[in-house]
Amino acid sequence: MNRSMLALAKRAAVFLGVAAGFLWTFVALADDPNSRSLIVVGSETDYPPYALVSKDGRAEGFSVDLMKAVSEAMGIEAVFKVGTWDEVRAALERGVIDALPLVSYSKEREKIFDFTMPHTVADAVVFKRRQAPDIEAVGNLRDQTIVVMRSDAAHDWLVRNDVSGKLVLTDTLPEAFRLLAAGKHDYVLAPRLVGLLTVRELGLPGIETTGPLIDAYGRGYGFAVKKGNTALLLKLNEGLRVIKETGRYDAIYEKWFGVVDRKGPSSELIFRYVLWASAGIGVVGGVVFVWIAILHRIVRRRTAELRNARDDLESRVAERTRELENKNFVLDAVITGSSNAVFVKDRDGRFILANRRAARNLGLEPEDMIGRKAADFLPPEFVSKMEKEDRAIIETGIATEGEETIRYKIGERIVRAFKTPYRDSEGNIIGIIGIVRDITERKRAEQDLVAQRQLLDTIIETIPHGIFWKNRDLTYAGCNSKAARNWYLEKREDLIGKTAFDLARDRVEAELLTARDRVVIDEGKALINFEDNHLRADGTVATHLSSKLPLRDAAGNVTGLLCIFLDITDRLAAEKQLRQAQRAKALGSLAGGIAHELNNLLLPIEALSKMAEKRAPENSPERLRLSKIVEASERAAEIVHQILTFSREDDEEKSIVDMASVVGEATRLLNATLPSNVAFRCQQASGIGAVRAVSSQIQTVVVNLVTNSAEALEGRPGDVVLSLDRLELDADAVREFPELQPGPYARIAVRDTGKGIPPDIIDRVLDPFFTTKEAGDGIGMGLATVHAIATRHDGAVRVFSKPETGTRVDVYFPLVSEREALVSVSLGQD
Amino acid sequence: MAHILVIDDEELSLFTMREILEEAGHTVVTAGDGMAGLALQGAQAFDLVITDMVMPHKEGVQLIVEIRERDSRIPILAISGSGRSRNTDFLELARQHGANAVLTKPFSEEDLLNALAVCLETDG
Repeated sequence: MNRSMLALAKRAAVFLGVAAGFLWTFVALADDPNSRSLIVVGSETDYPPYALVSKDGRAEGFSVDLMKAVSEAMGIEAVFKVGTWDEVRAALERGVIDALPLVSYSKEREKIFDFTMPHTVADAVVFKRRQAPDIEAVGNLRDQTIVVMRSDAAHDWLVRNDVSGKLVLTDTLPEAFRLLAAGKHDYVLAPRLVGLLTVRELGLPGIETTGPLIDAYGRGYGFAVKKGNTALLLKLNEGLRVIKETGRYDAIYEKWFGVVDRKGPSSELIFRYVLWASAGIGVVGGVVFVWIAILHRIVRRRTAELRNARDDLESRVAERTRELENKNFVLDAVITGSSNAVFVKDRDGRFILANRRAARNLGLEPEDMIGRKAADFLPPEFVSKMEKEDRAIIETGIATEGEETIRYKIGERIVRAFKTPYRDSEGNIIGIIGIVRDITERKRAEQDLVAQRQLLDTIIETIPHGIFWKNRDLTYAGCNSKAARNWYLEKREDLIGKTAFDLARDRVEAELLTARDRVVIDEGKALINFEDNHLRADGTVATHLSSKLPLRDAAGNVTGLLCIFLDITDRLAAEKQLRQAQRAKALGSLAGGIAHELNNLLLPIEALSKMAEKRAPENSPERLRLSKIVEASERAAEIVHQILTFSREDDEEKSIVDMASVVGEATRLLNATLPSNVAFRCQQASGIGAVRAVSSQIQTVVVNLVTNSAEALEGRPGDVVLSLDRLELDADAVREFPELQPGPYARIAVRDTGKGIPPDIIDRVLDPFFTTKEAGDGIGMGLATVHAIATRHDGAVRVFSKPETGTRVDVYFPLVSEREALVSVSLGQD
Repeated sequence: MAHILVIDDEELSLFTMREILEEAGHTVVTAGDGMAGLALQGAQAFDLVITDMVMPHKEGVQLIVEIRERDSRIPILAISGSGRSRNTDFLELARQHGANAVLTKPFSEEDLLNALAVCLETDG
């Protein structure tokens, strides 16, 4: 016996352990968020006193009070909804409500509900008229007529147990009791408590119960929850136990059934089913009791712990919720307020988030974008490109950033788009997050800046001036190509950072170049349009017209200097030519006037002296003297003639003449007259062409040039070389001949190996009456006349000379076109 | 022998020509400008007119034109100092307007008498 007890205890202990394990699981389930601390209870409208509705629509009744008490004991808040049985049952199945307070057990219902232990066992009992005999057992009713409510469980029970063949069926209980009270029948089988209350309410006299309680209603009534809601079921069971222990159950029973059943047998009966269930197990029943008690304690302790844990959890959840809400608020504010367009798209490209800026670009409100695709708002060519990129991002998970131009509704914008995969908490890419910054203004500003810079650069490069700028320390900070070339540098950058001392041939030159820079920087003075000379690489001197100006910062401090210069060497030369031509013309005009006057005066001198000479006696001193006057007047007349030749502007008709033959004639004349120390040669190119000229004047040019050269030899042996050639002067070449038009020219060049012309007088050799010869050797009209003739023929003269080496004079005559020459020749033949 | 009108604004020129012409046996009347010359030509019958081209009051060309209007046959000899200046060829102009011969100053006794002979032969 002891041994078997011990084994039983061991088994019980194992069982307890397992059971406790289950219980833990269930309790743990109670923490499931689905098991709310608030439950909705559905109560029937018309099942007094178990369930009914007060006048103001609230659920009332015994079962309602029980549910309230149980909920309170378990810390659950219960709210009640009322409805018909069908309504509340359906609501429980749908999960709209959590529990029903009054459900009788049945196999069918156990498929859809889980039941708590029964809180009410509704035994049936036999009611009799006071005059009718008592019965000891149901079997006594065999031959009696029994009134019963149709389809009531009691009705079933009577039929099932074949109690009596004489049954009177009513539709309601009151009807059954009224038949009894009226003395029509002796016995009614009905639910005990309901029966008692009904009799009391109807005020029917002489009706009492008799015989044993009959278990016609099975296990009785319990709470029901939706099938599987074990957590709530456990709580409700626990609660029922609690209110039984605390006496709350009895108080409620007293409230509703006290009037008819003051002793309240149901307090004993409530566990009857359990006792019956455990009766078969015997001792195990005791163990189960112990187990339940232990469980009870565990559950209470655990419940308290859980409550604490729950409270703690709830406060943490609340805190987290607040944090999240805060975070969300901040995030929301950042996204909404961002000046960038922010959007999120799902994998299919549908917008699931878009801020105001993103929508504004499309002329929409953010909500208009949700659920739609870019193709709905943007041009297709852009969308297809964008979709391709998006696909790549989704496939590779690599964020992209790039610039693009988009034609929005609001116009064309340049944007910088940053797109990154949108991942869920497990890292799966579920879309794309995009942030698009509108950089149109910045881009346009940049483009404007570039354009301005290019324009400035173009201007700097286009102007005919060299331009450079220097820092305060006189290092070059920048320049244009002309300025760079001035230092024989190929690239502009090559000049930057250098100083004049790095570039100049010597220190003196550098000092000269920078002397003015110092004035500009130190005194902040602008030096405008000064001329200075620069030695070129080829040794020639270039003249620059320069301006140097201080560069100042915003505060007015001199930070450097700007210099612009123009190479005016050619211009100066051209101006010199022009001045010379003008001077020659003025002198020619003057000389012409003087010659006219002199001729008038020479007439009497020459004519009268000749007359007088003729009439003077031969060999007389008078005749000799008069002959000298005649000689002088003839010389004077010759000078005047030369001056007139020089000053004459259009004295003879020009014609088309062949240059080679005219020059040839002149050289034949010269060959006969040149002194023997002169080695005269002619170099004549073929096919020179024709000029429109007075041939005698061309001959004068040749004679004057060769004569001058011959005289430059000063009697010493030397060469005089005449060359005649043809050359084309293009627009570039003509820059050195401001008096000439571009075109073909015949050039007569005469050079000698004579003493040369000193540089200080070379500029004046073309002036009339300028001569290097001893007084009496010549009147200085030779080159002036050459120049005058050349000018009269739209030609030019250039003189090159090196002292002690020789001189070369080039004379240019414009050639007529071959056509003009041909026409002229044919006309001449007519 | 010829009766000759000589017109020149230059006194020395007039004197020189009178010397040469009277030596050669001609009679000479002189005028110091074109106006006086034209008046004399209208008043007397001359065999020949010698006129300078550049003169005050009346240019030689104008004088020749007016003499020719009055007398188409009288021989005229035009003389000039430089002969040509500023694109204007006075002696060429004189020829075009009726001068029978031209002569450039300075000229010699022979030059003048030769030119005179040419003029009078033409006339003859």
